[in-house]
Amino acid sequence: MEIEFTLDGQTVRCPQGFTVTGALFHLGHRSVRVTARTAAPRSLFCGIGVCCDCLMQIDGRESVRACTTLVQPGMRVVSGQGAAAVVANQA
Amino acid sequence: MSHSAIVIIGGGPAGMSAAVAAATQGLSCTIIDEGFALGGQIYRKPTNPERAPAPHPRGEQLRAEVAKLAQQIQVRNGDNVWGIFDELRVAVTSPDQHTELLQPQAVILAPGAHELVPPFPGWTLPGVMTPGAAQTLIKTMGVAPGKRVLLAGTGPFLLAVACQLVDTGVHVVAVLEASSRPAWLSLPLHGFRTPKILAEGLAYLNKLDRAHVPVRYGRIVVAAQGETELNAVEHAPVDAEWFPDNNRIETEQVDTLLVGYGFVPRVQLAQMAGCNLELRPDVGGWIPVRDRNLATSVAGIFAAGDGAGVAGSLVAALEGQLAGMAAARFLGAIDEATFTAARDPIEQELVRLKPLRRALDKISALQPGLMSLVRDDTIVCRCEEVTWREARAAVDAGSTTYRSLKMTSRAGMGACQGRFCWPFLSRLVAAEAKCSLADIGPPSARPPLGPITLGALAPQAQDK
Ligand SMILES: Cc1cc2nc3c(=O)[nH]c(=O)nc-3n(C[C@H](O)[C@H](O)[C@H](O)COP(=O)(O)OP(=O)(O)OC[C@H]3O[C@@H](n4cnc5c(N)ncnc54)[C@H](O)[C@@H]3O)c2cc1C
Ligand code: FES
Repeated sequence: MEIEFTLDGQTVRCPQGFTVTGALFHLGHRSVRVTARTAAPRSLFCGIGVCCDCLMQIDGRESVRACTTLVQPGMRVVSGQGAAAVVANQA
Repeated sequence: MSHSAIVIIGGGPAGMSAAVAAATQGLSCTIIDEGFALGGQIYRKPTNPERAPAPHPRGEQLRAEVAKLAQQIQVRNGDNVWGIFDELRVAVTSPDQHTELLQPQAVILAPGAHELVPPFPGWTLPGVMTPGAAQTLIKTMGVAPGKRVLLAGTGPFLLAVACQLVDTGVHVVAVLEASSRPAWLSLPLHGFRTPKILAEGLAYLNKLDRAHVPVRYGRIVVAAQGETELNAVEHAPVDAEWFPDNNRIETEQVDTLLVGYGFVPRVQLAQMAGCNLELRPDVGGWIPVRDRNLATSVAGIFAAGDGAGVAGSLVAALEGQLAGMAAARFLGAIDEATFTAARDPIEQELVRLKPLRRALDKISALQPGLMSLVRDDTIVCRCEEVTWREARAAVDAGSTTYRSLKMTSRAGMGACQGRFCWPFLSRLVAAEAKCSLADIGPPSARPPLGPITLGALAPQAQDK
């Protein structure tokens, strides 16, 4: 069974039970966002929700870890620019 | 939601074993794990079983043991623990952003570890990732991390992942093991009473040999190349301290580099709870101080598994059992005699596993040459994109602690809270400032741990 979701506004498909990063790799994408400071592409790195390299905007929510999020039907995934700062770790 | 006597953070071998041990003594437990299912890293359960390889039988068995005790054990998967506060209050947020403050009578920390990657030129390029990240793609969904893959780092985990890649049909170009072949051959095979583990290692080597995957000892990756993604890797032979010979660099065209030099315990929750930490580089860095019964310095908080010192899944399961029993005794569910009778065989087993583990740790111990790969413009903090030039300027101006370096250079300030950069950045700082790792300290841990949104924090956390 395939699931339909949108990636940067485009409708795409992936098998059921795929994480967002898994779906992107499955679809042949190698990067998931660009960085805030140098606009460098980033991708899956730790794969277990620790490094925060894979942050994406998902269903309108900023800075969601794509590696620990399962694709749901109709999900809106946006690669865009992700500052990896969020509320975490204010000094 | 019902109150549990014990909250267990982490549902890997340590957390599941702890729950089974405590629940068997009649105690109610809640296991919280942000993963999609119980299993932790090693026993990760497929999320797409049609495409993924069959799950590890030992993991299936542990999940079944937990399921059998469903009366006592509540499982919360997908929920994230982002803080522990005074008097064992555990802050947890569900994927729908609902936040709760649990207040158990005992807490068992079993959060496991994450991988250890040194900074080197090009290490932020898409296509460079940890062996565990690649393994996770395969184990859960059967997705290949790339087409031509090189693995580099140290330790048997690299061999295990290389075999999984081969099984998935990925072209593994080579495995580069930093330590020398003589160092590995010096493992006194007959000195250990753990033949099964050694047989596993040999089976990996045989499999790679049959698949024509060369395992090259005494080599490390010195740089990754590519514009918007990885397309080549430079590697070089090293001396005993892992300093590369830059005159003998070889370049390999690959789209994926998996690099891992071991594991780092996830100690942030222990830190937030006020548990004393100690520096133990031999088991991955900073770990909570524990007594013989795995109790931390905070009454009612126990710590088990890789999150309390990296020692692998067998030790994690045994420690989980011990922590579960220790928590049961702490809560008065069992008496001293019952506890000691349970502890003795667990301790004997732990002692039996120790020599091999020690020998492996020694062979894979980080060497200073690994810290020589950074150049001025190499990023040392991935989140905030801080270069070594910037961080070093801050160090030279006197910022030698996590806190001060973060304030002056932003290194360690990002979403991962220094978890990924600090294990190496602290070593670079120590070398630059000529001080000890212990002086520099661990990154301070502040709630919320992980990228929790303001929305999840805003509705006042409720006592339940
Ligand atoms: C990516 C990766 C892959 C690995 N693969 C293997 C392998 O194939 N074979 C092997 O022998 N060893 C592997 N290891 C080593 C592994 O650490 C041990 O083998 C073993 O899994 C340790 O068991 P544990 O119970 O201590 O921790 P883990 O198995 O790591 O379990 C800890 C669990 O706690 C959860 N957790 C942590 N913090 C929180 C939090 N704040 N809130 C909610 N949940 C949390 C995590 O999601 C995780 O599921 C791997 C390690 C990593 C990092
Ligand atoms: S890849 Fe590290 S958090 Fe997702």
